[in-house]
Amino acid sequence: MQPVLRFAQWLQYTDWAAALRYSGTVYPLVLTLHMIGLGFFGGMILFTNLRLLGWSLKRLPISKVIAALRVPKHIGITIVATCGILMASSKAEEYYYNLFFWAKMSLLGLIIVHGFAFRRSVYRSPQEPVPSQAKLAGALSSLLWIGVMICGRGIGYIEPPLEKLHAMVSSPLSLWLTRLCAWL
Amino acid sequence: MVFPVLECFHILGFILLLGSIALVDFHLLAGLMRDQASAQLARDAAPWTLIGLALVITSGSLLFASDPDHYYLNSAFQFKMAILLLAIAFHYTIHGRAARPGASPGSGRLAACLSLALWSGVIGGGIFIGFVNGPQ
Repeated sequence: MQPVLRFAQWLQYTDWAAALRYSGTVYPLVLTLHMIGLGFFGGMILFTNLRLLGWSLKRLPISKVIAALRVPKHIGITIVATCGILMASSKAEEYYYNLFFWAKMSLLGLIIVHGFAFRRSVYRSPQEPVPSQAKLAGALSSLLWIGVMICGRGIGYIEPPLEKLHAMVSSPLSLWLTRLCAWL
Repeated sequence: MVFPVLECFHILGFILLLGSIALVDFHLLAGLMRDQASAQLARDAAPWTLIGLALVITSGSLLFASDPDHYYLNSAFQFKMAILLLAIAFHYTIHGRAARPGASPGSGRLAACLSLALWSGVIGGGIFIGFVNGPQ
C-alpha cells in the first residue's frame, strides 16, 4: 500500500486540497452540495429502486421509470462524486487510515459491479424486466446504498492517527489560497 | 453509539423526504416524466414524503434532545428550524396547489424552484450546525 499512501500524501499536499482542508466555510459548502445532490438525486435512485421492488409508481412500466430517471441520476452522481472527491482529497492522508472510507469505496465498487451484473436483465433490458430479477436488483441496490450512507457517516467518527500525518500547508500559493478560503 | 445510528436514520429520512419532493419538482421544472400528470406524480410521491418527514422529525428530535442547549443557541440550527417550518408550510400549501390540474406551467416552475431552494437551505443549515460555534 506504500504507493497509495504516497499518493494520498501528495494529494493532500496540493495547494487546493490544503486550502479546502483549512477552510471553515468552503469545506462545509462543498459538504452541503454533496448532501443536496444526495437528497435530490439520490431520490432518483430511491424511486428507481422503489419501482423495481414494486412499492411505488406501479402503474408505469419498469423500463420506463428506469429510462426517465437515468439522466437526473447521472447528473446527481456527477455532483455528489465531484464534491466527494474534493473532500476526500483534502483529507486524503487521514482517510488512508480510515476503515469506513475504504469500506465506502469498496461498496461503491460493488455498486458498479451491480450495475453491470443487472445491465442486460434489468437496467438496459430490451424488454420489460422480469419482476423477480427487478426485485432482486432493487433490493441489492438499496442495501448497497444504505451501506454507503452508513460508512459515509462513519468516516467522520474515526480520529486520524495524528502522529502518522505529514500533510501541512507548504507553498506560498497554498498559504494564499488558505487565507482566501478562510476569509470567504 | 446511539448518536451516529440516529444520524443514519436522519439521512435516510431526508433522502426519502427530498427525493420524493424532487421527483415532483423536476417534473414541474424540467419535464421529468413529461407524459405523467403532475397531480398523479404528487400523489405517488406523497406517502414517501410523509414517511421521510416522520423519520427526520423523530430522529432529529432525539438528536436535539442529546444536547438541547448546544443546538438551541447554535445560529445554524436556528436558521435551519426557521427555514424548515417555512419549507413544510410551503410544501403543504403553495407547492401542492402548483401540482394540481389547471395550474399554470409558470407557477409550477416557480413553485419547484422555491421548493428546491428552501430544502437546500434546510440541508445547508443542518451541515453548518457542526461548523459554527454557538455561545459557549
